[in-house]
Amino acid sequence: MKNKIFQFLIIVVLFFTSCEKDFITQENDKSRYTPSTFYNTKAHAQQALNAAYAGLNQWANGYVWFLGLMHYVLGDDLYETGYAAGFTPWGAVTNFDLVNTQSPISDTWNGYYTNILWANTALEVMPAAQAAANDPTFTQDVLNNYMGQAYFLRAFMYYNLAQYFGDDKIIIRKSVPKTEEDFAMAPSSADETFKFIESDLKMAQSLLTTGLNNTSGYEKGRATRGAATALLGKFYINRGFYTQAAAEFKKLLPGVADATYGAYSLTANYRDNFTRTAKNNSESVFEIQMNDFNQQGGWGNNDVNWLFQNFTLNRTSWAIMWWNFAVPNFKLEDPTAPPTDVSQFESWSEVIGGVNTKVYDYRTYETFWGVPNGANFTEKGVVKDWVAQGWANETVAGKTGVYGIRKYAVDRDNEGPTGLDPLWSDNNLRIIRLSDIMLLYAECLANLNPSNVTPGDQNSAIYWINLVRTRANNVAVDQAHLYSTRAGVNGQLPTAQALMTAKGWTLLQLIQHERYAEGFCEGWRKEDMKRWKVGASFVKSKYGWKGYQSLTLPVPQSEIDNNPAWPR
Amino acid sequence: MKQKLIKIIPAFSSGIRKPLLIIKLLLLVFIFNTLYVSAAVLKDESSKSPQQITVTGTVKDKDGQPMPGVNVVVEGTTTGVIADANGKFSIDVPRANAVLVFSFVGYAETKVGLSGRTTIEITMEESTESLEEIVVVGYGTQKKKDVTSAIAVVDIKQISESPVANLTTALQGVTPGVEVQGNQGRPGEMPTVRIRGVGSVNSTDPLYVVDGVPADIATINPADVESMQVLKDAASSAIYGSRGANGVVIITTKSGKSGAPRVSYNGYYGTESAWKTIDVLNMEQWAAMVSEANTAGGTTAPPLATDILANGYSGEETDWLGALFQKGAIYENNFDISGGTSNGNYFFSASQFKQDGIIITTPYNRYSVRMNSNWQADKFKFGENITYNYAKNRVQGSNGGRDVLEEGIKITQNIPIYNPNVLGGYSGYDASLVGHDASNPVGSLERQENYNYNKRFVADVYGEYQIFKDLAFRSTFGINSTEFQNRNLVLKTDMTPKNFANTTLNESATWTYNWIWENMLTYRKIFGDHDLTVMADYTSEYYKTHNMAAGGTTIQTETNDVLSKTEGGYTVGGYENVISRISYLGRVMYSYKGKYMLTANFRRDGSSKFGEGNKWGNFPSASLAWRISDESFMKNLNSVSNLKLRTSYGIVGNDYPIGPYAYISGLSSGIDYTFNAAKYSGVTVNGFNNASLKWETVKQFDIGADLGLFKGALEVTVDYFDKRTEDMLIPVPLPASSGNSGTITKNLGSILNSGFEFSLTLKKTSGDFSYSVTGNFTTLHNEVLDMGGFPITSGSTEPGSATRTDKGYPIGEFYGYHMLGVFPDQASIDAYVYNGTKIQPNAKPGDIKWADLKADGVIDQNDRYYMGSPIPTFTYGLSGNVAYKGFDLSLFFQGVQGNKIFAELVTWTQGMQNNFNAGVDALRRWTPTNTITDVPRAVRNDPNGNIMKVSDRYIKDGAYARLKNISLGYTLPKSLTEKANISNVRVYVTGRNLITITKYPFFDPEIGSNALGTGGSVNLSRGIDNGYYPQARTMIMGIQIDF
Repeated sequence: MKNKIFQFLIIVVLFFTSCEKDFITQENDKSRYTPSTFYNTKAHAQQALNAAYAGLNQWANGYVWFLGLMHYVLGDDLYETGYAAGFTPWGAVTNFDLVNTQSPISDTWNGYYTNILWANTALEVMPAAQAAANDPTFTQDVLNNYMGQAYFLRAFMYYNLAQYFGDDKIIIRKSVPKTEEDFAMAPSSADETFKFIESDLKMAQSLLTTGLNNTSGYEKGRATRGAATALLGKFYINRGFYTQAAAEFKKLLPGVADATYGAYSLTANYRDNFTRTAKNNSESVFEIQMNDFNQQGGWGNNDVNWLFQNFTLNRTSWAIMWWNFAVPNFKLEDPTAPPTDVSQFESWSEVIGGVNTKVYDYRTYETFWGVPNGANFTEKGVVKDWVAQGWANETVAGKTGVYGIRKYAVDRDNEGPTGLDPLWSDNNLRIIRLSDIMLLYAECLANLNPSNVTPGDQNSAIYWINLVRTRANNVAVDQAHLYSTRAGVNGQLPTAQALMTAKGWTLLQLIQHERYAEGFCEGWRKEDMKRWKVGASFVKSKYGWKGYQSLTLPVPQSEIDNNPAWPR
Repeated sequence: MKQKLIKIIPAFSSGIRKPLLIIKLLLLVFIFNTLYVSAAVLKDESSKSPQQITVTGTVKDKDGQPMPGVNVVVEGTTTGVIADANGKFSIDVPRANAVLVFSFVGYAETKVGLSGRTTIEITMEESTESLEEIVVVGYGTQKKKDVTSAIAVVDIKQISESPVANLTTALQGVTPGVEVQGNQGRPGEMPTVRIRGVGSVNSTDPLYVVDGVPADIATINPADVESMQVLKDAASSAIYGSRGANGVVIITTKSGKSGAPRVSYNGYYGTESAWKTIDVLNMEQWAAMVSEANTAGGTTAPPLATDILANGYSGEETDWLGALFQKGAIYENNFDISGGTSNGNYFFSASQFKQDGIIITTPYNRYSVRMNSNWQADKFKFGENITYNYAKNRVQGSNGGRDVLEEGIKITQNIPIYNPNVLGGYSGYDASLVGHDASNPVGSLERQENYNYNKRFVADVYGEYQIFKDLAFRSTFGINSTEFQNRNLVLKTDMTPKNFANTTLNESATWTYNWIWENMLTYRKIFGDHDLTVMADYTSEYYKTHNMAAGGTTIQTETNDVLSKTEGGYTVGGYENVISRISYLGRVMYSYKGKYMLTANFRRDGSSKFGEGNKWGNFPSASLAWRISDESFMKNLNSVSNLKLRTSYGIVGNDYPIGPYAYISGLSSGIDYTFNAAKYSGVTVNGFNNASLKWETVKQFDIGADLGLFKGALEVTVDYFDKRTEDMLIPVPLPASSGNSGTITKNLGSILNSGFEFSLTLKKTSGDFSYSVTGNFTTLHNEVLDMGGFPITSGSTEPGSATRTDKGYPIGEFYGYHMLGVFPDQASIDAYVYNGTKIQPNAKPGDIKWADLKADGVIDQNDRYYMGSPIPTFTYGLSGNVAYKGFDLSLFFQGVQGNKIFAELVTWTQGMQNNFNAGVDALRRWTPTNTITDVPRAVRNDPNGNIMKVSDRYIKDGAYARLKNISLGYTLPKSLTEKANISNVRVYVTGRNLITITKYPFFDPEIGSNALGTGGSVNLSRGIDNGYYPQARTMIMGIQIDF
């Protein structure tokens, strides 16, 4: 009996000792997905990729809010009204009063790195998912395309990070951190950063086969070979590599393009670049996709275009524009501006209906609310004319003449499917579009062939500038009164070479002017100003401005504090 | 105001239907058991060994009354019987000169050599010394005199003499080193128990072990408890390894005694009420205050206030707090049957408990049944323990984020409670008239039927086999299965503007299924002067939690309140997790001549909560004791009956803060993007878990002494402890470049708790008169030694986070601005300067003068300081018992010193910024004619932060001394009761919380934390009074009958 008990005990102990490792391994958390077990089908690889895109339209780490605000605010397009309560740090940023403890700076840094993590997740899990899936539809080509998109997204994030913070402040993360040691990493040298971003973009360029953003059968909004090419060109030009930049831009341009990179064309009307009905059009190279605000509307929600309510002044009689922390840093007529000032919209007088009337570059009406005889907003059937309301002559934060940004906004409160607040919209943000590329190509040419001003020569900057200016003259019936003023009158912008001559501008000044008028408040300025190293004459009202270095954000203190590997 | 009626609900009301079923089932089991007993008896008779000698006898007490239940054991064997109801026993002994050992709790162990006798009669002597008491030490027992570590035995007799609503309440103030915070007085709410301080910023609840199985004691019936011990030092708790760091409470439930079935009943009935309330302003006082506040703030006073100022107020005034508080019934019926034979015993109990609570709609019901039995057949012992508990309580609802007592103070009295003309029957309010948004708290409570149901089934079986004379094997298998349900029905109610717009129903259920299997070998050998016990144990444990939840809105009729009748707004949820553990543990207890004692424990725990490399932890401890009183040089000191020095050191783990899978980084879903105007779902890595998480480690040193004088008439125990928590889990910010700017939990922090514990017991019996006095006190020093550089801000209140935990300070110390006073006039504002510049240039007379602690001329967050700790530096308890003939009287005082309370209530009683009503404190506010005061002016929107700065304006002294319990009982003379064939009848009256001495001005100073549950936030939000459910004042009458 005793022996039997001993035997039993020994068996019990041995039994448990042999399987105890399994017994205390309970890794199957049913309430969560875990990376090691989740990604093993094509659908799951797609989900990893979708999430890598998601960073673009999240509230906390995307262009719905923080990244979008920084994209539009850093530059001289806008100035702070001082009206938006609780918006102090963003007001400081609009004035280049940059301190590395400010939340907009850390939110920008943090947001891009979150998106990098999500891109790295996709890059890491998709090949493994393909290997595990054993799915005939999940071919190497499909995987290559997915990987190309993920490389583009990672490059897009790094492109922006490097642009904001400087090539020598960037931490290159090529994989998802896994252990304690992975969390803390030192920044790379500027050279390493350059090579890393260039390599990712080239990788995306080679892996992606689709060129156009609106190719049928390829969901609109995905990264394309064209987008990777455009970004690579911008990457080069921002660092002064005009030859390399020109080679990339050229692949995209009508008439000289390589077809595999996408046959882009300017839209017939300038306005099509800003309406919610003409998203993902032939001019669009890369857009951030927003969703239907009826399903998504609400403070703090993802996927909704929230930004443009910020850039129009709130007035009690126009309460629908309720946020208003910054408005255009712009004057229609600035008598103090020197004759060489390129940052003015063109205007001239014409006799309309027997009255001598000031007429502006058409793009002025599409860009702003508040221009005399300009676009109106219709609120619940009542037309609100900014000038008639007397707001154009108000003084706000020391500035007289208050405008709002009309680009991306809708013109009436019933344009949305249910007529809700028009400033929460599903309108996409056009991050890269063809006229931007054309003007950058022109800039390359102007630097490479400064003497070539032959209008008909595709190797001259003038050629490409004129394409953009000619399109600006195309008029669609948008708000009828905007164009009726032009009926029977000249109403055309002069040619590039005529303008240059009239103003006494250099080719580069001409380009600076054109990019100002074409891309006002589209986030182009921060890069342009940095590239051109323009100083205070563009940003005279910004109290924190210390020269072009003010366009580089300081690395947030929180990163320095929490990253033991940060050099100090 | 509608009069609240107290319903005197007959015992065993209709709510018991379900438990009755269970009782029937258990009765069946009981009958089965009784049959089994008969079988066992027969078997025993037939297996009698022919060589053995049968000895019979009677055990009596000093009065010559027969004593049932006395243990009779043949010395040096495991052969033993229990004396029957008439004190008679019959035992087989192997030799004519064998020695019998008689023992019984509370009596001195008596040894009798037979010397050939086969019939003996012995008289047991009552022991005034508690040294012979058997102490359950976890995986074994020890005699109290041999205990080498700091173990407190809780006097459980008190529970039966003056019943408590839950078991942890019985721990309050009775033993040093154990602090029990009355965590809300809400019925069914368990107090928070802290053993030897707060050892972590995370969970620090002790481990409860019921009959050897780790368990939740929330629903246990206190009357079922036989004994309760608290393992305080690491030496004693290390045997529980990774879960012992917060101390261990070991509970043993009652079992039967040998003899005919004995039936007893214990029941009481009483009422509870709030002992203190807050006086609020009447309508005219409100109108004056609100008008003043609006004038000062440049805003317009609400029309009602303007009207009252002009025309006075003649309408009804609702006593809102009066409507919220009630006099609630509390009662319990407890019934048990127990008995046994010479080779087995059984115990059966059923109880019902109901408490209405002192705030409306907060009832608590508990039903419990328990049975156990223990049997012996030759060398084989076995038994089982089965319990079912059912508890139901109604959760206090609120409406619009405010607590009901807060609404009760803030709502103006012009609003009536009821309005029969609207759906639901409760009044709303007209915001444009009163200018505030405090809504009807009575309607909020009564229209939200939010119930928790807690059902618990615990069963364990054991078998023990004596392999050799000295070696026993015991295997226990236990199941603990619980079901926690919540059913929250919010009925559509029109209380414009704060309506319950739709009827909503949410139901959830969480099941836990837990088994534990313990296999233990115990070897005990006495050779010469050496007494050696060795224990080795192998335990495996599995714990699964499964949850499901569903909800819906809109039900057409109130009676069809089931999910299938909801018409939309559907929600579903659910989760499941598993924890498994394997443990090897062992202990060596050695004693030489009963004077020098050594105990060493070791436990090795493997847990699924941790990742590779951290799954296993080792927890050793050792303790030494020296019984000086047994040394020859002490023999002459007759007055010293016991003097023992003890010291111990051990390492224990705290794995509570770590949930299952905490070391695995998961994926986040719902990270979606839009292509082609359609939504595409995304799943990705969005945050990191620390793969190398491990236990928090507690290293504790203890030194103590036990002193017994005058044959145990005076007993003193003193302990000093030094308890250091290391590897404390702290949230550490990640570098945002990792992709997550949140935190990761790391084992970084360290906390010290040290203090003295002192207890004293004095007992005296002379003739019919006896008394005893027990006192204890504890000092505590709590200090954070290291936070890894990452202080934690916590303790959410209306003005902001009220606590901060950082190196050099106690856990959860209050942190904020220092109020110097109230500016009486403009001159004092102008005079408050730094380097010639006004420090508070925007202040107005009547605003608070803030201290510029940083001395830089501005008042900003750098001027905050540590305002005091919610942890008492000194806690004490004092009880006295007197008995004379049939009467017994007991008193129990308990108190704390040195702690602060952050009275968030001040933001209600002195708010004055939002047109709300306020407490009468607001009458002391600054006005141009009342300039010298501590209450600032009334002003809308609080421009100076008088309210909205976390400051020492809210800090109050939390000390109190309280007569927790006074009880007077009378036991009917035996001569009387025996005629009715009843062995004992005692009637008693008990009052609880009758006297409270405190400076604390609000409802109750005995508050815990404003965070409930068991998480770390309980420790970081402690002492914040945001309108707790106050402790009740209770009066009960009861009767105990033993048939």
